Order: sequence, then C-alpha cells, then structure tokens
Amino acid sequence: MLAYMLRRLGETILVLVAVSFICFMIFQYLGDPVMAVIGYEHSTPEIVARAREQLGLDRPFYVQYASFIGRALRGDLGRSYVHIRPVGDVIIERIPATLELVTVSIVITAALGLLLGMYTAVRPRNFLSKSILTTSILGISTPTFLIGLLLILVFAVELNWLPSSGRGTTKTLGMWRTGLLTIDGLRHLVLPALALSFYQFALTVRLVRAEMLEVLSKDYIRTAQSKGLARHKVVIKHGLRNAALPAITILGLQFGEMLGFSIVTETVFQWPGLGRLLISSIYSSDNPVIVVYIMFIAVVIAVVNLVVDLAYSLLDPRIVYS
Amino acid sequence: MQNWRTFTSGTLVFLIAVVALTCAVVAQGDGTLRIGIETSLGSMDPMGNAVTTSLSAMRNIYDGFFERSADGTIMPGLVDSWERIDQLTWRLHAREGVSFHNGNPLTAADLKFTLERTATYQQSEYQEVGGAIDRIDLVDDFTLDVFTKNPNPIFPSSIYSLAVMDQEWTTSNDDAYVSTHAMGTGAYKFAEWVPEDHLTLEANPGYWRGAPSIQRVEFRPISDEATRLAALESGDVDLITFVPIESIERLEENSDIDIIAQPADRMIFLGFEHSEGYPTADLRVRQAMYMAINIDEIIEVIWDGYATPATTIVAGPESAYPGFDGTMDRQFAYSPERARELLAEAGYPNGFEITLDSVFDRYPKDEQVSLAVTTYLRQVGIECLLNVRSRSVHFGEIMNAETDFWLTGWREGSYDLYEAFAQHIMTRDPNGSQGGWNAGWYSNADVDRLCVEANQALSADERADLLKQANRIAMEDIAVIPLYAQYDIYGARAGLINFTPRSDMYIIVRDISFK
Repeated sequence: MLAYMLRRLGETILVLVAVSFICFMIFQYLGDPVMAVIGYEHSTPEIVARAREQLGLDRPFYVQYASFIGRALRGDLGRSYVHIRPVGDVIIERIPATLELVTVSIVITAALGLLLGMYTAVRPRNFLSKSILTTSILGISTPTFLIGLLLILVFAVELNWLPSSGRGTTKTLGMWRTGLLTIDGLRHLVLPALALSFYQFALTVRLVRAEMLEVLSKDYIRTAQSKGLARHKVVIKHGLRNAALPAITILGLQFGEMLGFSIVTETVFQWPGLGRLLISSIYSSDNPVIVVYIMFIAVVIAVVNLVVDLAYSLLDPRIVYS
Repeated sequence: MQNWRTFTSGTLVFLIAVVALTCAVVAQGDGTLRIGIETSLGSMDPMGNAVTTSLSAMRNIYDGFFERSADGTIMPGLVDSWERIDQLTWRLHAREGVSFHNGNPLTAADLKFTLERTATYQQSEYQEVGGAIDRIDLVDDFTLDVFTKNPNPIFPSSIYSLAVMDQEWTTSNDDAYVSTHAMGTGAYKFAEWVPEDHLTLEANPGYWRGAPSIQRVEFRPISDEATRLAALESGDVDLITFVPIESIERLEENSDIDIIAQPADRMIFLGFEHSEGYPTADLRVRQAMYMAINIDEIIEVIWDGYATPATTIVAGPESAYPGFDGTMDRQFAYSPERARELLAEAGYPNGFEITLDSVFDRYPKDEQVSLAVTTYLRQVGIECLLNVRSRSVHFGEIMNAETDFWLTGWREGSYDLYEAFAQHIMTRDPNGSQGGWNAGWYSNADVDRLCVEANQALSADERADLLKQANRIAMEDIAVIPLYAQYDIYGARAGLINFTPRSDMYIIVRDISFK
C-alpha cells in the first residue's frame, strides 16, 4: 500500500512539472503580461521596455521557468499582475465559493441521480421513468450556459423567486467566506448549483440505471431474492452497492474537474469562484496566476482520483493496490 | 415497500419545504444603490488599474487633484487653485480642511507622494505621469511646485484621473493590504470588497463637499451582459452599464426600466501601414478604403443608431477638447464606385490582399464592426481577411508595430488632441515616448511641426488653433480612418434615481439621488 501511494505521489509530481513547463511554453504565444501590469493608457515604449525588464519577462521562457521553480520550491508562488497580491492568496480566496457550489451540486446530483437512476431501473416501463429519461437527454444535450440563462430568465426575471447572480450575503468564518449560513446566501446558491448539476445528474441517472439493470439480472440477485430477502433490501444492499461504483468514480472525477473548470456556470451567474479567476486571468495575461492555478487543479484532480480509487477498494474488497 | 414509499414521499416533502423557504422574497429598499458594472475590479489600488470601470468606482472613495464637470471642463478638486509659473513649473495649492477617512488631514505632502508613486510603484499604471516629472518641491504645508521635464501646458488635464492617496496609510501598509483596501478623502468610505462579487461603500458624512444623499452603494461586477440585464429586470440591481444594443427595443417597451443614452468619448478607428511598398502607403488607396466603408449603415445596423460618425481620432464636446474642430466633416461619403476608380488609378484594378487585425473582447460590437469593415472592403475588390484575437495579444502588437492594418479605440483621458496625436499620429520614435501607437509609421512633417508648436504655445487659443490645423492636415492625409463614437447606454429602474451620465463614464454616486 505504501509503495502504491508513493508511486501515485511520484506520478503527480511528474504531472505538475510537465503541466507548468507547458504553461510557460504557451505563455510566449499568449498576450503580453506587461500590459496587465502597467496598462496601456499611460505607457510609452520605453516604459514598457523597462517594466518588461523589471518583471524578468525579457528572458527566454526556460530561464523564466527555472526561476519560477526555484522560487516555488522556496514557497514563493509569485505575485498576480492584476490583483497585486501573492498568487496563493488570490487562489485560496476563491476556493470557498467554488467548493460550496460544486459540493452542493454534487450532493444534488448524487442524491437525485442515484434515487431516480434506481427508480428507472426498477420500474422501467413506468411513465415517470420514461419522462425522467427524456429529461436526462435534454440535460446532456443542452449547453450549460443556456440552462443557466433559462433558469435566470424563469426564476429570477419572470417569477422573481430567486436572485440572478452573485453570492449574496456571506459570513466569514476565519478564512472561509460561506454562503451556507445565511438565507440570502442559500438562495443565491440554488440556481447556479442546479445549472451545474443538470448535466451531471442526467449522466448519473443513465449510468446508474444501466448498471442497475445489468446488476439486477445477475445470479446473486436471484439468489438473494429466493433466500426470502425483502425486495427493497435486495435492490439497495446488493444491487445499488455494486451499481453505484461506476457512478461514484465518474462523480469523483467530475468533482475535480468541476472545481477547476466550472467557468461557464460561474460566468453566467457571476459566481466569484475559481472558474471566473481562471478565465479572467487568461484574458488579462495574468501568467503567475494561470500557471499556479493549473498546477493547483492538477493536484486537486490527482488527490480526488486517489480518494476515488481508495474508496473503490473499500467498496469492493476484491480490489487490492500494491 | 411501505417504508420505502414513506421514505420517498417524506424526502420529497422535505425538499419542497426547503425550496419554498429559501424562495421567500427578501425585502429590498434599504437605501442602498446597487450598480451592475461590466467588468470586475482587479484591485483596490487606485493606480493599479487605469481602466475606466475601476477609476469610476474608485472615484467615489478617492478624490482627484482635479475634477471634470459633466461636460469635460477641468475644475478644482483637492487642488483648489493652480498657476503655471513657467514653461516647466506648475504650482498647486491643496485644499485646506480636508481629511482622509482615517482622520489624517490632507496636505501637500500627500499630493507630492501620489505623483511620485506613479513612477516608483512598480505596479502603477501611471508610469508616464511620474516619469515626466523632474522633481516636486513642497513650498509649504499646502503648496507644492511640480517641475516637469518637458513643457506640459495641459498638466492638470493629464492627471485628472489620478486619485490622491494618503501617504501615511499607503506607506505603513504592505502592497497586499493596499490593493485590497482603500483610504481616500471621497464621499464614500470603503466598507467591503469581495473580488468579482461586490464592492460596498458607505457614505462619508464628513465629506468636504457635503454629505452625500445615498447612504450605501454596492458595485456589482456582472460581466455576462445577459445576466447583467437580467439582474436589472429582476430588480437585483438598480442601475447597469453597457446595456446590450439588441435589448434596447425590448426594454423601451418595459415601463419598469429607463434607458439612458449618452454620446461617449471613445472613438473607434482603423490604422494602416504607411511605409513604402505597402498599398496603403498610397493616398489614393487610403481614400478608396475610406470611401468603401458605409459608416451610416454600420451605425444603423450594428448600433441601431446609437453611435455617431467620427471625423477624427477624438470625440466629445468641443469645449473640452482643445484642437477638436466641430465644423469639420468626414472626409468622404460612402462611394464604392469612386473607390474602385481610385484603386485602379493607384495601380490596383484587381485590388490587393490585406488582413484586418482586430479584437473581440475589448469594445462593444468590436467583432461585428470588424466583420462589416472587411465585407465593405471586399465589395470594392480588396481581398480583406479578418484576424480577430484577444486584447492581450492585439494591443501588444500595435505597440510593437507588428500590424499593417488594425482596428482600435481611443478615449483621450486628458481630453487634449495633442495627447492623442502624440500617441497615434506623430512620427514614431522607437526609443522615445512619441508615436507609441503609431504602428503604421505614419509620418507627416507638417503635422509634427504644428503639434510641437502647439505644445509650446502659451495661450490656450493659439494652442487650440495650431492643433486644429494639424488635425485637418492629418485627416485630409487619411493618417487613419475614423469610424464612429458609440453611445454609452445605461439602464435604470424606472423612477428610482436621478442620474445623468458623464462624458468620462464615471459613475459618481454623490451626484445621484433617489427620487
């Protein structure tokens, strides 16, 4: 087990090195970050040249990269050109918003997805099942921004039930700014979480349904039933537990991805999270933030994948890592 | 079975109850003005981001050395009187009896500190301002002499967007604190800033111009224009900037929403390569391209009429722009046949190839206008391709003179034609500070001479006159093709506020009141 963990750690470090190197390589072809620092309005070519030199941006990319790695190993992740603060602070500040959004979204997805996936597998010819499956097709094929805008149009503009954007009133617990402790904050979470979970939910329902159908046709299910076990116990204890595995894997992978890349939802709902940070950093050539961000998400995804794999082996004792 | 049914129905009831609870409408109207703005504020450092949106928000917390009236004239700010002592010296008198929000009194030392910080602070976006100053002497507690390296007849105008910072507060806090908090003398105090979410300000009852009427302001960045509009329509915000043109017709029918449109100062124009060997080096070719573009149709179709055709590279009320000639017309009307004739005369009967470098994330409708321009040029036989990219690439290439044909906009913050010309029209000096945006290497000795003379003129009238001449020559020579000046379009909840847009696009909340 220890060897396995060490190997995973090694792989992650390799990914980090590769990903950051690629970032620096690409930066040469992206926009000019000097402009992000000193702006256009009051700059002249000589001021631009001086700033470029001061920022070390006149050196070849591999030299800049080496310098970045050197400083990173000493704990200095650089300073954001746009926000004029340490990159670590800028990124960490955004984590609560996205984490809350993604967690709520995954909880909705998991709960509804498992429940309804199970239902449509157990009662396949039901009208309700059929409508659930049709809705899931819509969920998979409709772009997230459209779903988001439709939700805003219906629930904010027309019905005026829920707010259209932002996090609303938040409370700060130490370093964590949360929207979960105020009614206003919770109200602001509803629409973005729904928009984000539409696609995941549709996927989960279909996945769980497919797995359940396969599992329910297996011999051991028949055995359990003929043992006299109550139907719902068979379905849940034996059926769902096996069918849930692929769903959990997918959800786990999606968690990491949603954490780093819910750019569309965060833009439509003006959610001040990590996705917004990434896209606006790319647009303003805030390279220090971009490279650290990508590395951070790589770590998150690696950790999430590891957790999912470990959970897998917990749920299925046949799986052993060495 | 029974248990399961109860469980499911119980869960459903619980979920519905939760949703219903959270849908309870929160009462609004607590005296807060909520403004939806189109981009987020990068930092709270007033020098850190010289973008209009940021300057606008910061202007409520900070005061400037000088102010502008709504039509653009320079007025006293924290400098209540000033004299030009000689070609290189300006004497500024600081206003007495003003304090920063932390109680520190405003003195000339704060003015001096602010001007110097523009060049000493690495992240300052006002480097040129500090760089043009030789030194600053404190004559007494409320008087300072600014010595510029070169004559600068419009010094007050050139620094008007600069916010005055508290020397003690700025130097005793680290950079990270200064860029996340604000300390000014303005009508509103900094209350809270959650990046990308909101900036909350509270009224400063001790403000030297008198306490503002609106007690709280919340600036909310909403970059997606559909969402920004939805926020206004649903009542989440009271005022928004940059209303999408396509929605205006629909909104005009909505009695809950007022549309407030105002001609803006930002000009959009096309620049091209003037070096030998390029087709656009020939005046006839440039004239042909000018004639090929149907600017009225662009304004009608893309802007729905919410733009005005431009005659030169600045726009705005004549009183505010020395050198701007309101009597000057556009050089040519739309005449594609004549354009073809000119191209043939110049030796391009079958046109030539050219690529328009443009941007998609900087100006409203930038991409559509670029596409229209390309189409018009193709209609007279010019093989024009379109290369649209992000602003982070586009403007760098212009400043490095790496483009042959480009679209750009300009809002001359100093309201002086000379400044605009110095950047775009005067001969480019790769090592110096002239022609930084003149990526086409346009060079006209007469224009340069007139501009230099204007800058040395001591009388404002003489200066304006010389600049008008320079403008006329440059425009007749088709140094660039001016296109249009857009309208600034705001949306507000009907009957809620008294709001008059400003030509500099700043939203100064102390000038707004609830009805």
